[in-house]
Amino acid sequence: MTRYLRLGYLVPRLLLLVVLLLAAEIGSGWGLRWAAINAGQGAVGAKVEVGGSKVSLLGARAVLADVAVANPRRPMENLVEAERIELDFDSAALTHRSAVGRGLVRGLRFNTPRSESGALDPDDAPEAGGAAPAWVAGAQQAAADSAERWIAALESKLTGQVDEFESVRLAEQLSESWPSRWRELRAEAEAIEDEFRSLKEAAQEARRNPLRHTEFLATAPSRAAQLQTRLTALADEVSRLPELAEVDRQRIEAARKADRRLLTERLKADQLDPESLTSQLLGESVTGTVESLVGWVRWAREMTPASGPGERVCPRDRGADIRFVGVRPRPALLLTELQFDGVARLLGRGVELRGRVTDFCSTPAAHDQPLRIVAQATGGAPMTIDATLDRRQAEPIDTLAIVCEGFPTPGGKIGKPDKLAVRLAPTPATLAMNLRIEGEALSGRIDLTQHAVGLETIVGPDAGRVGARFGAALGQGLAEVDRAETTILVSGRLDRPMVKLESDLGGVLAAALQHAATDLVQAEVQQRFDAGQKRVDQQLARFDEQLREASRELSQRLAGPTEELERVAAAWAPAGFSGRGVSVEQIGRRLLGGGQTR
Amino acid sequence: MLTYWLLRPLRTLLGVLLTNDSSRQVAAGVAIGVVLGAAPLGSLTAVALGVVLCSLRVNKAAGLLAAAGVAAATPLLDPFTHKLGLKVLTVPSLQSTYAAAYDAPLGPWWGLHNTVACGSLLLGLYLSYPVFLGTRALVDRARPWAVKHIAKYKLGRVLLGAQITDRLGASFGIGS
Repeated sequence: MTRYLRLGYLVPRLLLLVVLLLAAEIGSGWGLRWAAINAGQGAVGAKVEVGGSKVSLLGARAVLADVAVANPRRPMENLVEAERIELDFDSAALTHRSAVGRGLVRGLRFNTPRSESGALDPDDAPEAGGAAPAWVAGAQQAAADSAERWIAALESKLTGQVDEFESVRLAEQLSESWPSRWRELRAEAEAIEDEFRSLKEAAQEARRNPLRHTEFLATAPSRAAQLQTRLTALADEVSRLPELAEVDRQRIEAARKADRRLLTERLKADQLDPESLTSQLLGESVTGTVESLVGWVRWAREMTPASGPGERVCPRDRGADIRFVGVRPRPALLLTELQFDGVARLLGRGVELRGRVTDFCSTPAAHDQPLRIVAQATGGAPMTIDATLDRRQAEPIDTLAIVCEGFPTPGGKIGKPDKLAVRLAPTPATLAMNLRIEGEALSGRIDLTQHAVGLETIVGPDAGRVGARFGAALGQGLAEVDRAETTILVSGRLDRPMVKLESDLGGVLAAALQHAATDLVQAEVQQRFDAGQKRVDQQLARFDEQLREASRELSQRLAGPTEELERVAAAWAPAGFSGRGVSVEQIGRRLLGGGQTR
Repeated sequence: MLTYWLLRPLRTLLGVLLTNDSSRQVAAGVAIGVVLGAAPLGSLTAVALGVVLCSLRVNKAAGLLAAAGVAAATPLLDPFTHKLGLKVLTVPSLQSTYAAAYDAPLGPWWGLHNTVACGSLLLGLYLSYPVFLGTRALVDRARPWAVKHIAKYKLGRVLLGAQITDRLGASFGIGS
């Protein structure tokens, strides 16, 4: 035996091997710490700090203490901190070059501040975070603008001056046109009177000296006939006055109807888009939640190992590894269960987080179960989270289910509080979220049920009379709203998520606003119309009075000449007085009231 | 110290020829070294071959020199060793055997499921016996010539040192 084996050589080296193993047992902690820092920094892209580490090769156990992973986007903040990480590996699996184990993470904390920058390269400019993506912010701002414009437009309409009513204009026109007409009629009556008087005086003169007025006597019948014609025309016109006035009244009545229609149309509130209102009231919480979720999904995707090739021949730096037929592929690292607890800040509230990660595998294709994270949060925002990250196929499939009983909706506001605004008070809601990300495609829905909706009206000091009335009417309508259900449909892609809000909150609010606006507009229309009609009625009453007065006056004026001329005409008619001429004696007798001429 | 580390490989090389190990021991060391150099580095195969080299009464220096030389040369042979390993590892009738060996404890640590590692090891094993024969013949023929010529030069004497000279004297029966 000793002929072939150098015992003197072998024994010291075996002893050396034992010493080396003991050194490894002690020193591998440092190696683990170094490996954890390097691997972590490579994966996250920011500083990873490990306070202490301990490895037991014989016990196949590793412990890391005070682990801090910096946030690559916010270097002065830690992405996550853990007080202690304990990992227990299966020794038998290690003989198969596979680390299979279970672990425990205690004292998890998220987004804790750092005393020094966590950027690997100090020159790296941190990315701006926290602001909503352009698509979210744009939609939110558009919704806000739309709602505020609506209220402002309504207020402007109700407080603005309305042009003169057509009916009032017509009534005033009537008042102005008829007096001139009357003046014309009166002038015509006076002219007829003068003409009659002149004719009468000329006749008396002709009676005294008939021979000297033969010319007058020749033309007198025709003048008398003309005078009678004018008198008749004037009398007809005066008698038609009520009829003409009635036509004008009908025009005014038609204008009244048109005025009411026009006023109603002009003061009518524009239609509100319920979706815009919902976006305005819930947009921040919804879009913020979706944005945060998408961010977490992206981060999880970066952190989660990819599926890796599942072929029989797997290329390496030198040659290729062959997977033999019948050999079940073993992952390099498999954590069957990793329990964790800690504190976090979810939805702006502190929560105690407790849960477990199962089937975390460095080569997901080599494992038959997807990675699953189940967590329960208690405290400020109690919720359960169930996430599955399936990387077993080439295309990753992630599912996320969250149920939160006390989801705090942060509230929202429409309008300007110093004038008129509607405020949604922060209320707890039940949130149920189901999201699926297949490859880059997002799909899913978020159901938000608000059991006690706190919608209230704010009437500010600059609201004015109309604003105060509108606010009071709106307040009554909103008091009846006690429950709202909102569904957020999520679609699009991870890099461009799309959110569609479907909520009865916006509908209810829109209906309340429209109802209050309609009532107010109707009252305002009636008030303004009544004011206009009062003026019309006054004008018409004055017109009627003037009409009656003018008719009476004209009738009186025309009565004398008419009767006399009728009498003369009646006397002349039998004698064939038709302008062919009569004797001087005949004319003289008739004008001077004489007897029948032959 | 620097001179010591610079000259040590040269002294080792001369020691291979001039030590009192037999030509069989030198040849065996070289043969094991060839296989060790061809074996996948960092695998259990390399560790086992290293233990074998150190444990057996063979010329360790010759083995390590051969291992270093072969390890440096094997990347040049990767295309060939890959094809060889692929051919061997994908033999259908041996899949169950391979699978059983791979699934056994420490199976993956041997590193033989890699085509280049397997091909290189097979090539090393294949060459080991011819190398053994060739090295033994070479050492038998070259040793007297080497002893004679190296001792003539001052550099050789310096490299070998008095200790070696004494050993040589004892070997050839010169002085006592």
